[in-house]
Amino acid sequence: MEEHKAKSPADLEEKMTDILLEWMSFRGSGRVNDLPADLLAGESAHRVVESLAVLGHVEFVDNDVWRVAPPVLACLPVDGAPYDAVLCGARTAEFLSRLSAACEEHGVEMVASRTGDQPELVRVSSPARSVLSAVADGVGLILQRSAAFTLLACTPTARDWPRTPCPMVSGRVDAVRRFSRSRLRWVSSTLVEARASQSGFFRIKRDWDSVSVLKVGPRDSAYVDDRVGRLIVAANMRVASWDAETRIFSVPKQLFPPRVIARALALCTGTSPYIDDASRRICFPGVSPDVVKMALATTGLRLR
Amino acid sequence: MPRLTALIIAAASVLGVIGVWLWWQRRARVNEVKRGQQRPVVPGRDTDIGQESRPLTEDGTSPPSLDATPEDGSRGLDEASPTSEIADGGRSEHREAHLGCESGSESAETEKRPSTQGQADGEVARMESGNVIDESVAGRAADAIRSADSERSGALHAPEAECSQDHQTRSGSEESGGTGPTTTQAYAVPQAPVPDQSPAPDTWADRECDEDAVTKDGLGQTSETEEAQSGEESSKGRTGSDAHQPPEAQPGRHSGDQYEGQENDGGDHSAGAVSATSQRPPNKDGEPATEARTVPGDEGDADHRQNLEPTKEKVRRPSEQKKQPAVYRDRRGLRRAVVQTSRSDSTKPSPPAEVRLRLLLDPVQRRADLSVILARPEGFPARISPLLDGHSPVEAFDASRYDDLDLVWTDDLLDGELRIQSAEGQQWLRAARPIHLFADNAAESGLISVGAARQDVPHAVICRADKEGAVRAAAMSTGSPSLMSHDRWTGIPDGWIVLTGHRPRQAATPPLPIDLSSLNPGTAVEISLSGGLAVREKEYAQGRPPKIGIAPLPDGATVTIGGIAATQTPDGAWEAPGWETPGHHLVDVVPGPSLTYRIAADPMAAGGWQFWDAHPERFGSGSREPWGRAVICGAAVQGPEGETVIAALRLPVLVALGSHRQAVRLTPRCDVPAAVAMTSEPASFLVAATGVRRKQGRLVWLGSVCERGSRSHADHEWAAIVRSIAARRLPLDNADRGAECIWRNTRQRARRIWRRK
Repeated sequence: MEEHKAKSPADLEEKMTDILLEWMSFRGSGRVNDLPADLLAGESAHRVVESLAVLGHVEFVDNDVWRVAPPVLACLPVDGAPYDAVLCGARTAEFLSRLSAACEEHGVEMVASRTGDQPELVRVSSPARSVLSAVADGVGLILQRSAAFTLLACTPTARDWPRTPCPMVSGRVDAVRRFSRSRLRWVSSTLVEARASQSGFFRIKRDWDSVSVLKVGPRDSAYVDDRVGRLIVAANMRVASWDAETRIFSVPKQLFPPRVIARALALCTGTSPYIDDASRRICFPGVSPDVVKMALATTGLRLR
Repeated sequence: MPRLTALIIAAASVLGVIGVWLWWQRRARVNEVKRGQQRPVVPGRDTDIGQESRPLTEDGTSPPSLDATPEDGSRGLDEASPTSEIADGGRSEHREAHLGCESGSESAETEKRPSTQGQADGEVARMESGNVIDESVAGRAADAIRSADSERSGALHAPEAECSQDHQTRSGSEESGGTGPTTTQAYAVPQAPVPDQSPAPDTWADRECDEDAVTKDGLGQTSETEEAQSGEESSKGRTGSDAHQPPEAQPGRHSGDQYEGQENDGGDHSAGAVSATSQRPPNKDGEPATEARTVPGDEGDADHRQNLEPTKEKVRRPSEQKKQPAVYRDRRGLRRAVVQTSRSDSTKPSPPAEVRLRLLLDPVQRRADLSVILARPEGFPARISPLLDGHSPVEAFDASRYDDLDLVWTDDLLDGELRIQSAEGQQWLRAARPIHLFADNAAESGLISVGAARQDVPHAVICRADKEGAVRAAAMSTGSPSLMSHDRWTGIPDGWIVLTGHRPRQAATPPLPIDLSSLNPGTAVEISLSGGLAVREKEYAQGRPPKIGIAPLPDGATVTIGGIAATQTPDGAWEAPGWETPGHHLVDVVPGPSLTYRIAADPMAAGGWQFWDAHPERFGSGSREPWGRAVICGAAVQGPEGETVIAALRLPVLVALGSHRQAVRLTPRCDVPAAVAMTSEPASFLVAATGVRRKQGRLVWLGSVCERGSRSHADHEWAAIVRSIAARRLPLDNADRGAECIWRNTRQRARRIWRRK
């Protein structure tokens, strides 16, 4: 990238996610492994796409296929004016210029800031809700009111998450691990134990793939999303926390919620969650009380 | 004598009595006529009057009348026409003729007019009593009616009140109200297509606050007209008397009631009619409707008048329910964003793609053949039809090129530039050059044209015969073995020569002249693309084009991009007008190589990104609840048809309200404390309540307002809910000035609908 050569490596790295998002916006869709290495700044491609998916910029079509989401002004949960919204989804230079022009036309403040290695956080602040609608209409993008709450309201609970019934794995396997409810981490296990157990969540590595199997009965097993399986195991545990002052909602690192739920929590501020190394918890800042209620009901966790 | 006198007196008395009786009879007849003007109109009787005066046809049946059919009590076209005449004076002659041929029904109508019409009533009464039907008399009567109407036109609600009175009287109803939608349509149409010349409001809130101003411009009529069009049910439901009250008596006239427009700018009706004339589509004869309307009795005028008829009139005459020109649709079209139908990229002439030549040398038959290889950049079709004589369509060989195009190697084929066009709009270009250089290509058979010679690679040269010496000398200077000539081979035109065996070992010293520089490996020109945002190979994002570098560039060489001469910028990059615009671009160095790159158009300019269902099976495939049917993509949640999804914390009462219609109750989820609704139009308010008291509920402003013009109809459930909330005086949360304005207009609209119910 010619224009970035004069900048410092830190600037270059930060800018790369913006260029990557623009690149993805032009491409529309593709495979995770096809991301240009010079735009990843040394990060894992899957991790970068996962981060963008949590922020609502892209969606996973398959485990290794991504597709960019349409641009959305996602309204943040606020109690009163000013009403803020963050820009999610595809973005290009022309799109940003149009949005900037629309904001200027309607007298709306548009601020771009940077947090960590995520793309620029474009935040639109308006004294009236109606003006946000006008800005969105002017640019032709979707305005999603109460994005976090609406996402959670249209998301199944972990208990009702779709799962694919399957016979229990048999034959030769490389490794078997069980998610421990008491320790909230993976522990070593065996296939014999997995087959004999009444219930549990197992990750079984075969020689060609790795599967996550949830057992809810001796003969009842199903493939399920790995994060959902862990939440099911930890259901009703008092492991979630929420600080009314800081509005930080946190769960143990091993209980990172599924992508849509994590996106809803991240859209309370528009920033990616972060890991508190001291407590080994994943933290979502700025979560409002109603979103906390929904998150607890959806994940099945309880406040400690 | 006295007996004679007595007889005379008796005879005189008898004659006097007879005279008095006759005079009395005559007077009674006159009085009966006068009384008949003020008697209440009985539907059956009026029908008889109209049908008696109507001439019978040959088979004894009554011809169809264009006037009102009294069975349903609605007014006919002629009764609506006075208001139409306000907007269109050119139709008066037609009305006169119409009155002349159907005086019976006209007299029946005139009989019902209030006595304030004065002169008109007298004229029509004379017509009826004398059974004299004369066009001149009818014309005078029509003029009298027009003059009477024009006298009343100071307050345009008067004809409507009259109309409603007639309607109610005919239907035998004792109610004092009228048929709002019917008369509304009749009066609304003449001012139909008023182009919106006012600047667009900055925000939707301003738009809503400026609703009155919009109504004054006549646009407020649209919803009323469309309401009536939306169905008979809504039309029948709007028979409230408030629709025909004077504007002063109407409490909610600030939100689009047509009376506002009529009262506030009565003179604008003519303007509206002018606009309607200018915007009306041609009639079925293909002539503009403006011309048709100026010709009395013309079929186009009749068509137009039929368009002006209210819905009931069309229902009354099913045989005449033919589809009319979309006057109303045109009105909506004026308010709708105009979609520019631009030519698609596929139809635009694309920049020229690259042309390569294939040289086939058959040593057995001693034959040389040339064919053309057309490059196939992305976006080019799989089958093209070159605009060359005798050439059939060419299929794509692979993703990068088409099948060979065999050419007859004529004397002048290689002299100038080679430009080929296809019927599909593509074109290919190979710049003119003094010598043509060919080399082996691992992926192709034969020898493929190249831009410049490479070291230690055998090449073939095609040039004019008079350059043979210079070419051989240049080859010698690069260390190449002596070239082999293919004289008198079949296929080579006279004056041309094919030389093979040019294998340069070193750069020529001294440098070769410009026309022979491609033979020199030391001056092998290389075109490079650097920088930019490469979306794919040789494809760059719009706004982030590559930097085009050409090195080393021999003296005298020319560079073109897309056929346009390129210039070098101070930083060494080559640019030409339009080089960074979306599409394919061919960089051509003469003498030297060429290269094609593509600038990908910004998806935002090409319609944006599609909203798609990223989590289709999250609730299984059979969920019918709103949260199961909702589509999630990124941060957006919408309905499958683009509906708005509204979610809120679960409460006993949760209703999403539109600003003009639509009240949708949120469906509670049993597993999470949320309720979800899907509305086809953006909801403006959310009613959230836990009880019936004022403090137990609130009205949340959601910040959007639905468009008035689309599918506007009287939503009585919505009106009832709005009235209930207004009565409870629930506090309005998150409201600004615009929101309060919209809520006020919403209440007024609901009140009007409720009164018309």
